[in-house]
Amino acid sequence: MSLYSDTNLPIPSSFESLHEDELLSFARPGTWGTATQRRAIAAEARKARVEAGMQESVGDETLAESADLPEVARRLARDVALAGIGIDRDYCKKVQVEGLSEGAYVEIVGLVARLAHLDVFARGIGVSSRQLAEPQEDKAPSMQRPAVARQEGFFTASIPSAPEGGEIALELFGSEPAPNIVRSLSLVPEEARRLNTVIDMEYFSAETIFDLTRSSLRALSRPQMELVAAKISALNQCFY
Amino acid sequence: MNLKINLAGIFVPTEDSGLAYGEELLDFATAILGNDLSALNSTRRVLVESMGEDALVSAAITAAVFSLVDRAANGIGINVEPMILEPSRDFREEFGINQFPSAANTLG
Repeated sequence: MSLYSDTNLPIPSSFESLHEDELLSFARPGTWGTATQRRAIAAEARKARVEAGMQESVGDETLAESADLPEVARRLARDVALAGIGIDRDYCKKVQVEGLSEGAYVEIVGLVARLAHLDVFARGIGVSSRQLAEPQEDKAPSMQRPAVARQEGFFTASIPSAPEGGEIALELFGSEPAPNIVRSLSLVPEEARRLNTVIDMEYFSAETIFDLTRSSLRALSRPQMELVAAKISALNQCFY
Repeated sequence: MNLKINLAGIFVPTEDSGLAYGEELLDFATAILGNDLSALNSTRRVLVESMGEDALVSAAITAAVFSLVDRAANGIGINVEPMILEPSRDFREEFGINQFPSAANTLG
């Protein structure tokens, strides 16, 4: 059964496959968190959004208590779930002083942001949020930080564009200088890979973004897409 | 094709974005992040009636992608690239975008 089989809306199969893979990723081991911890982070994020009235409950918010997580990780998950509007450099430093590693910080930001992507889409098309999967602990988190990562002015370290970023930069971003959003989560390469896949498939790739006559979606012109995007970013108070 | 957006339409409810179905799209985008489910259901219905089901899916995908992008940008504190910053100077000032907390990541 496909992920959105409960609606007759014309959802491209490529989006459906991507969303299915995304949903499963929340219950798989990451670079810094176990599968059980990651599912609990996702549930904590949902709990915050449900309590804020930003989405409807599907009951799995209770899974937030299914893992022993430090309060600082839960707080970060909740804050990012509500759009991360108040997060600044001091907040990020404080979280690390309280015991969350820089890598774990980036992984939680990425995971919660990707969950919001799925949940906002579900709400938009009028179906319930998809239930979180059962955790599959098939490997241990590597807790490996890319050797080439460095401070580039963001709150957290990132991988520079090629050639400075080396092989991993070429794999993640290609050979051209990469926009900051594409590099934002790169301290955890798997999170960057997933973010960039969503942007490429559902918005624009680096090759097509400046062609204003082109729309990557069937039914909206590029200006109509940008209108929706700008409204969402204004509501999320995102300067970027 | 009209490639020009009246950005005031995004920030001022009485302003027209200048795009076909701009009002329907903005109402839907507002409702999808809001806490009024009946408003969301209503704007979804209006969007489908005026633009069709494909447009609803496309609008929902766009809202979803930017829900992801905005959280990554706000959470990691990325700054806006100079080539994008300069052309946006006027409207950032006019519509209060420089007052967003995340503006500090770029403007200092």
